[in-house]
Amino acid sequence: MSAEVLMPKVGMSTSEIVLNEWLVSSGDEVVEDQVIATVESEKTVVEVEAVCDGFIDIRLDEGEEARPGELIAVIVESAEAARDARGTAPGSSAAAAPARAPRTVSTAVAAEPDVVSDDRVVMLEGAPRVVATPAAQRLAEQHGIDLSTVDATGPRGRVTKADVERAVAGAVAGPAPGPDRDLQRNLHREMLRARALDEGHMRFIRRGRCESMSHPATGQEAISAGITAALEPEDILYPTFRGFGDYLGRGTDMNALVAELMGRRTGINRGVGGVHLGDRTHNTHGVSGCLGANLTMAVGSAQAIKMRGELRAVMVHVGEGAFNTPDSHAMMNMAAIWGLPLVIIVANNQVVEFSYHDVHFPPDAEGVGSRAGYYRIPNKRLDGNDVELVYRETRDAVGWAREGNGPVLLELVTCRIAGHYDADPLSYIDDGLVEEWRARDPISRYEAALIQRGTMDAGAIETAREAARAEVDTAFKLALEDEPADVGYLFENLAETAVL
Amino acid sequence: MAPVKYMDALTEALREEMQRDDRVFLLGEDIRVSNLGITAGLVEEFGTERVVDTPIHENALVGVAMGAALEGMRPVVEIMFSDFALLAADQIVNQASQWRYMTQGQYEVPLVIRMPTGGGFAYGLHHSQCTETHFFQTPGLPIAMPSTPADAKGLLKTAIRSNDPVLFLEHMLLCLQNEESEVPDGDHLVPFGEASVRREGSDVTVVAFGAMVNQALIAAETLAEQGVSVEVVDPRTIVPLDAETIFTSVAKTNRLVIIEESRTRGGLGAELAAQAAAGDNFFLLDAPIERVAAPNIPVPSTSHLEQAYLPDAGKLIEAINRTLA
Repeated sequence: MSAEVLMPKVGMSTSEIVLNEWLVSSGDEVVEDQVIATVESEKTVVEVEAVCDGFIDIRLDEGEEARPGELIAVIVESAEAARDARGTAPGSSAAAAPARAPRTVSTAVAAEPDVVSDDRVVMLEGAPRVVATPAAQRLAEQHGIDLSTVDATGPRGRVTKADVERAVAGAVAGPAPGPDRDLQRNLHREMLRARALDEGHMRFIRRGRCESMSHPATGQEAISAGITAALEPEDILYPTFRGFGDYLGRGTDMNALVAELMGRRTGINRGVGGVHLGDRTHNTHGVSGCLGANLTMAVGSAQAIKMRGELRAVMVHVGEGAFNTPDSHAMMNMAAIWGLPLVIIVANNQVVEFSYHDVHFPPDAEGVGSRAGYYRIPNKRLDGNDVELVYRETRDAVGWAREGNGPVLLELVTCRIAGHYDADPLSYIDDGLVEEWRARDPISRYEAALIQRGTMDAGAIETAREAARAEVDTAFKLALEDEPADVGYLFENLAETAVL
Repeated sequence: MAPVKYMDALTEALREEMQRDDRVFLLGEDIRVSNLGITAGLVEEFGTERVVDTPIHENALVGVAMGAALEGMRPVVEIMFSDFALLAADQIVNQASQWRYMTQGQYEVPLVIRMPTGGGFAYGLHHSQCTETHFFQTPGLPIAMPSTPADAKGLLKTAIRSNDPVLFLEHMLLCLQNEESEVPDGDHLVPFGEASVRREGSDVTVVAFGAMVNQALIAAETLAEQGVSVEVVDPRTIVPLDAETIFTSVAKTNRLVIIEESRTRGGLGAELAAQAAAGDNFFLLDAPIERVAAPNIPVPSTSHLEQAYLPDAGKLIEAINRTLA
């Protein structure tokens, strides 16, 4: 079996697309669905997967451009053939099977056009791609350096003064690499922690040791990990009620979080608030049990920030079900009228509570984020199971909002492969859909990439998995030993002037 | 002391608190122009950043204000008619009043929801209701309903300085009246949960708040000519409720009549009647309790029907006389 690998279509672009990075080398063995390269156009990055098993013969070098549909590699049956084929004119490989567009799983080009459609992607026109420190900005200005050409090594992708100095010295060249390795490991770790907590929570519920209800985010962990990594500590997050990755990603203490789920007095809300969590220390302002109630609160917080002239962003993270409530329009309308620093994250997981999309959205609708178009709010529809893509795009969106360009929306397409809550058997969607998305699990998918890049080996990944499980187990063990919430708490923290 | 109209007292309270604290800002529908005139002129003084006109969407309005409050601002929301507060019930009842409890004190929600309220203008079903009792059961939500210019100013200033959400009802009849009365000079604050005895008397206790205080005073004046001494107690805030002052009065008069503009069922009268029948209060009464309130029907639109619907001094006099019979 052999096949051509062609440049995919990226977003609405019909012009040249840059080959960002090969994740394999010529002669390497590849397997079907393996991510082998990333390509980029108009700020959208797409992963290219191998279309069959075989050996890769690369035909387009990193940094070079090609039009959609042009040959970028060939997959042949032997390592020898891969090496021998080198030098054959593009498109004329005798070894190649009939051309077949590569399957891609991210951003603009989708595996299933009905799930992620490229014509729904709206680019962030003029969005600042580069976030740089003030010192870096000044130095770049002094030397006439375009910051977008500078390799960023600072925290959260910031261009630092040292980066600009290297650029001035001519030491920096070539396309930007992926995020630094610490960040890669962090993204991986936060996905693991989120999943381990959901699993631990459900385990303790099943054991009859935990009364709070679980709304797992199984299969959606790339979103919480990616969006929280893109926020600065001073930014504000109104988190989703689904899963706890938003809290963990912002730094909420695992033990205090678990103690809250267990109704203990060391819980973050002293065992009174339960899953309706707020964590002021980490600017995670809390989630309402009434879906959609957070939407307009986020507007108000952004309004406060703008009134005070602070350089912070507010993010609200909801599912497409909550985004279907009318307050979403009030939110977008007012954020647009007032030009507020608001980042709207819609995790579109294809199920709403106990029903599939066809109950909630008209038959031909593709996604919900494009509703922002009416309000002239830049919006994108992206693969929510690609943690680095989520991180990168959110970082750009946060920068855009923080720097005063107004609101922005990202619709992150994913699938909840667990029930609405712990005891829900997920009977209302096809097994096939679940299996399909299980195969796109954001964690195992990222782990494959980390191994390929050499960021982590299989042993290190297993160690990380064990560490996440152990952290959760310890937290539940400590919570079991902790005192239950005091009955005296019942009558505290009411309105100070109210008489009971 | 200077004589001030009720509406001007409200405007003064807003102006003084906005001057005093940069975190205080106003938002609502058409508040720059201002439907009744309470916020008129403030945009010229404080600018559009602090006098914010918003789209029509009450639940969103309160949600936005709450989000600003969580970020340390002190927003004052206007809901154009208190009927519309029911459109914001989720943000008021489920969110603003509960966030502090939910997060066990991590957050405070310093938010005032002002709303013109009440009937008397034949505005009909959706622009005439007194909706305070719809929110009466909500924990964590003080409810103020001033009856005089001095209380209008003093209670509103207290509400704005409170670290918790406050529902603040301004009766439209009082807003539009031309009568002036004395408002203390300086930083006049009226504490929540302290009733005011509007008129002392010895035969019967009448509890009245909002626009019904004037009706109670008219009734008391009329009955005084017949030798009946009526004590009028205005709780000023129904949450928190100063039951102590009310039942101290009842201990003296041994008769209790409650007048309120909202409906009879489940109102403040129902609550006080229950309290009067409980514990030591049970031994205070010499006569059955009387409740004078609107019937449990929608507010009719035509003025003579509305007058039949609304409680007033005449209906109160009949009720007082029944307790004396």
